[in-house]
Amino acid sequence: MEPIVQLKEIVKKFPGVLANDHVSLDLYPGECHALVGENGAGKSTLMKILYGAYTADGGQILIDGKVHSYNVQGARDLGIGMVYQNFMQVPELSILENVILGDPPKKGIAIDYKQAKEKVSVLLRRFGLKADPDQPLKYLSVGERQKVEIIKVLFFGARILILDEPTAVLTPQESEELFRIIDDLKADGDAIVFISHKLREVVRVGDRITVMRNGRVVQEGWMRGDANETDIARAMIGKRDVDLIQNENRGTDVEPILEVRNLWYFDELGIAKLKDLSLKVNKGEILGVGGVEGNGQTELINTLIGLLKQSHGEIIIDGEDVSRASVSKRRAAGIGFISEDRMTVGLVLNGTIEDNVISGNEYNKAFSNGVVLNKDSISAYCEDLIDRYSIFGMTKGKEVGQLSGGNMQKIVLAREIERGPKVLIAAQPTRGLDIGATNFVREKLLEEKEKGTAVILVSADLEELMSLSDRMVIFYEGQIQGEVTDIAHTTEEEIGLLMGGAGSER
Amino acid sequence: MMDWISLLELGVRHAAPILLIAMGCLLAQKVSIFNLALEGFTLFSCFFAVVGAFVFKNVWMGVLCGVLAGVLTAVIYSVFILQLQVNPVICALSINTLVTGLTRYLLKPIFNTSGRFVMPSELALPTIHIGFLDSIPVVSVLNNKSVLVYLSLLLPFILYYVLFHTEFGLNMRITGLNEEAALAAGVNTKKVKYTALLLNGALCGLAGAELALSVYMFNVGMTNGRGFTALAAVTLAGAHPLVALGTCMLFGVSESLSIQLSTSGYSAYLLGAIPYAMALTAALLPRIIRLVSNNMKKKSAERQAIELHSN
Repeated sequence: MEPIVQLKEIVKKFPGVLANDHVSLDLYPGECHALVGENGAGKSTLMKILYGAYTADGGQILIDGKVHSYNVQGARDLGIGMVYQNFMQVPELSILENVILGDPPKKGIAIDYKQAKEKVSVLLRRFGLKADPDQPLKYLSVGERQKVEIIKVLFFGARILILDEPTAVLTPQESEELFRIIDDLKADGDAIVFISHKLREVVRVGDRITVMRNGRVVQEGWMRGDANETDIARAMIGKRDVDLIQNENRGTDVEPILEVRNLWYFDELGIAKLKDLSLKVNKGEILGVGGVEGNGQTELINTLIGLLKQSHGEIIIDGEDVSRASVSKRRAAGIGFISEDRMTVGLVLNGTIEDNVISGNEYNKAFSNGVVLNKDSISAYCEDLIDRYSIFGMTKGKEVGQLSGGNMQKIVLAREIERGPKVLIAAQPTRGLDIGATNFVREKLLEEKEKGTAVILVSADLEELMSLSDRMVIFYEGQIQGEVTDIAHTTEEEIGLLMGGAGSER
Repeated sequence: MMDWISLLELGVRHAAPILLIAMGCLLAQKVSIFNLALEGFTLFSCFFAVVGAFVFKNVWMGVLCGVLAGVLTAVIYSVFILQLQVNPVICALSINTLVTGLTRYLLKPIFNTSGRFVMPSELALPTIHIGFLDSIPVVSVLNNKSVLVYLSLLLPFILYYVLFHTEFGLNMRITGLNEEAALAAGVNTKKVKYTALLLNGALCGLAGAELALSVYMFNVGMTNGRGFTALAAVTLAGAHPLVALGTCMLFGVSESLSIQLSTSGYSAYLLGAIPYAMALTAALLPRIIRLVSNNMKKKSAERQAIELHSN
């Protein structure tokens, strides 16, 4: 059989990075080719080249044996479709409008909405979606919106489907449903590239598995069954230390530092995002907050730090009621916060390390006399932090936005930890970091635990939650669906059920 | 005693140029460009509409030159903001300032006059008389208007069709709401934005032609804030073409109201504020009422939900 796609010696350079270094890959009709690698390995770049969103600096793309070069529209004309890592959708518009964008059926100059609606309805039924095509997309769940992304691609008749981390926002059960859809598509003769760094999924769906690292293919086309999860992990990471730091000292005394009582929060549409939520975090405890994103975790964080005002309920830090306190009062009461978005909330990217470390601390006597900042003491303090938090690449006057993600996160950690918080809220603290930086963050969180800080760890990474938490709560639709105290004897499947709103407390 | 019919009649006349500008502005807003250069686009068009009509001794050549001038300013504006990534506010302010000065200056070398230039009245934009309209009450105010006035009244409906029933309209809306999604679907968003801005320029060109040629003269600063009025009308209407038709008419009628009242001896300065006062009221009052009532409704719904849960 002829391959439907052949990528030959693809090269792509970005300023300072060789994202794809002579990468070759092929794809046959009716197969699912899994492409695996860490963040920044060059998978998405390669796929954006195949989809025409980037132009390669070198190499050839052969579709059906013929050399082609094209933009996105050209790729779609060739039958190539891509589901991006983050949804490419407009939530305010209808499902129909989102799906037909790019290639609407036409009658004269007008869009033929009748024909489009029939076609979209058929696809919606095929994917088991009961929604009306005219309904705004925003009323669908995340899992349903993921299906709409695939429907978009099938609508214009793609036979080559690129799925870039499609399971990142899905529950294990929803992922399994997606894998069945992939099997169906393969049976129709469609060719699929499946990108993921979740090894279990890769082994489940990949007919062939290719591993990328640092812009190169390090393992070409393992056939199904040739490799297990450990083999793939080793190929992904290379010679580095694979072990992630674990919480070796689980369990704490019951001495609550943070108490949340009957917390309610309604969003602007009047939907309850937090429903009568109560929880306690003890001294020296890491409480893991799990759940599919969008089930109230963000609202909990924002009501705790004071960015959102709860509709009802109390927040108590070490005996002090801060339910109505401002953000700065709460910080003074002992809240530290590592934001899930270090690029916008966590840091001022075009500020220096001095600006970032001092913000919120401007009136500290060590740094100012009340009117003028003491530049000398601030820069001495920063020198010390750069040293102790091993922040690499930081030179005087450099903007922190020019650092790597890991080093940016270290600055956030330095600022929040050095304040000596009683409660540390860490939201997705290792998202997008490489293994070295991830371990650094994990180590710091465990150090805080040892110091007696009450840590709330909100993460979408189940492995991380299970490795670090003393205790876990799983959120579902604004409530705690279940609490897990014996993490060592709980499986990811059991937690997956809780994430999907099923299962009982353990 | 106020004359309602002539109030409306004058209102339509005042609303027409605002409507033309507003429809252009709406296209720009749909692709998420908040165009502050409308004043400059239109004033430049006023000037060249007069130049064209006078030089070619033909009013339609004037309209054409007005449109070309509008498109030219739009080309400059869009190249600066889309290609060279200049801050759109700075760029708009420069265009407005430049056009104000340039038109004032060019009056001298071209017409050898300063402040204003009046053409012979045969170069005025002709009005169209539709016989049967006279016999219908109220609707008769639409009679004896120039072709551009009729066009301005039709445009909201044309734009509605384009935006919600054609592929270009869909591409425009998605480009404005989520440019990445449009790019991922193979839409050439840059082309979409250019097209929207050039149409914006052309429509300001028509507005300039209507403004200047209906009175067959050019007067420095004759746009007199209409660009900003149009911007307000579109923003007020949430960038919906049919709602914008309503808000533009509101501005037109309030302007004619202030003119009518000024003949009865009220202070012209205070009366000049009427359109803005009405716009503010129209914009804010329903919102304040909605805000307060929604807030109360939300609070009580929340209380109910909490009580229901605890029982």
